[in-house]
Amino acid sequence: MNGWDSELRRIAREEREAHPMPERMAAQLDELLDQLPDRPARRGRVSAFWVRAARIAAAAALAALIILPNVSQQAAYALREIPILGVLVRVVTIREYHLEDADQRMDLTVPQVTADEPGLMTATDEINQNVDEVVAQLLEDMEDIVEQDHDSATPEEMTEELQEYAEQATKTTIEMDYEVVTDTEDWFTLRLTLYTLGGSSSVQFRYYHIDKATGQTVTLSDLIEPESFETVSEEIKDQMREQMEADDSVYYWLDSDIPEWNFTEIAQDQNFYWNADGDLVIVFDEYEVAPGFMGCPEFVIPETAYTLRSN
Amino acid sequence: MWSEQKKSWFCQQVTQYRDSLYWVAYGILKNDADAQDAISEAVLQAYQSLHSLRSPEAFRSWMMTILTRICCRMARGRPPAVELEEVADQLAGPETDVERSLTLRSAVQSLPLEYRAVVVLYYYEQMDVRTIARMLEVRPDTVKKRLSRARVRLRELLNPQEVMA
Repeated sequence: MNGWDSELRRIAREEREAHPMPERMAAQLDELLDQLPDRPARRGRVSAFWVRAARIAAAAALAALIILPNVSQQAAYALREIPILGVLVRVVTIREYHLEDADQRMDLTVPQVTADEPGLMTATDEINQNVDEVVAQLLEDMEDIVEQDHDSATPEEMTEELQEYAEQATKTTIEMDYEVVTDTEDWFTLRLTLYTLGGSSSVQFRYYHIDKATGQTVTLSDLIEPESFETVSEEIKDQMREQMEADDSVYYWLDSDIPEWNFTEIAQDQNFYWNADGDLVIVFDEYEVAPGFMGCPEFVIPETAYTLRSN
Repeated sequence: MWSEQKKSWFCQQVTQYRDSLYWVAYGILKNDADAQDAISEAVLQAYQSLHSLRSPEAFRSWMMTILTRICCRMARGRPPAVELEEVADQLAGPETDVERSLTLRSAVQSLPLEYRAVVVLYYYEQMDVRTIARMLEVRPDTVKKRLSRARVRLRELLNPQEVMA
C-alpha cells in the first residue's frame, strides 16, 4: 500500500496545482473581503431564546440527586438554549430547577458554558464541572436543612395556627442565578450567585474566569504574584478604614472584638472580576468580612497595589 | 486594538490560502456554488473570531478547521453522493495523463462524506492525522481507519485491472 499512498500523493499534488480556485470565485471572495468592516463586531446580540418543556428524565435525574421527603411532583426542569452569534465562550444551556412544597423551595438557574474554539474547551469543561459541584453541594445542603427541620414538633402536636407558623418559619429557599460579567476579546467571567434564605440567610458568589488568550481558567493566584496578596490586602484594609471613618453605618470586621472574624488577608482563590474600566475588583461573600447588613463588599484595587504574573 | 492593519492582514492570509479553501470546500461539497457559500460563511466566522487566533502561524489550520466543520455540516444536509456506477463508467476509458488527473478528483467525489473529508485534508492539503482528527472532532484512529478504507476504494476505482488480477 505504500506505493499506492505515494502515488495518491503525487496525483493529488498535480491536481491541486492544476486547479486553483476558479477566477469567478476568487473575484467574489475578494469582494467579500473588501466589504469586511474595519472593526469586527465584538459580540453578537442574542437573536432568540426559547424554553423547552420539562422532561421526566430530567426530573428523575434531579430526584436522584435529592432525597427529600414530600418533594413536589411538579418539579419543572426547563432547558433554555441561548444562541449568541460571534461570541467565543457562551452560556449555552441553562438548567432550571424549581421545587416547592411545604418545607422547601429551590429555584436554581444553572448555566453551562461552551466554546467553539478547541483551545478553550478544557477551560469550559472545568467551569461546568465546578458549577455542577456547586449544585450538588447545594442539593446536599438542602437535604441536611430539611432533615433538621423535620426534627421539630410533628404537626399532630401543634394547633393549626402554630402549624402554619412553623411551616412558614422553617421554609428554606435556595436560589442560584448567573451572570456573564465580562465577555471581551481576551477575557470571560461567569458569576454564580447563591442565595440561601431561611433560618440563616446568606449570599455567596462564585466567579469563574477564562483567559481567552491562553485558554486557561484563572484564579487569583494564577493572576497576580504571591507578594501581591499582601499588598492587595493592605489596600483593602486602608479602604475599609476610610469607609468606616467617613460613615458610621459602615462596619467591617477589621479591629473588632472577635479576632477570629477580623479580615487579615485575601484568599488564594478570592473572588474577583474586571470591571468596565478594566480595574481589578475583589469581591467578598456576605459575612466574609462584615456583618450581613453590609451585603457583599467589593473593593476596586489600583494597579499600583498588585503585579500581574507574567507567564 | 482593532485597526486597518488587522483587516488587511486577515484578507492577505485568506487570499494566500484560498486555493486550500477551495479544495477543501469543493472536495467535501462537490460543487462550486456550495463551496462558495461555505467559504463565505467560514470567512465571516473567522473574521468575527479573529481574536481567538493565538498565533499568526496557526492561521491556516485554524481557518481550515472552521471551513471543514461548516462544509461537513452542510454536506450532512445533502442527498446522497453520486452513484459509484456512474463514475465507474467515466473511469473505464483509456488512461492518458490528463484523464488520470481528472479521475482522482472524480473518484474522490464518489466517496461518502467521511472518506471524502479525510482524503481531501490528507492528500490534497497534506495535513497530518492528528490535525485532521482535531478538525473533524474524531479520534486519530478513526481518521486512519477512514484513510485506509478510502485508499482501498480509490484503488478499486482507479486501477480496477490491478485489483482483479
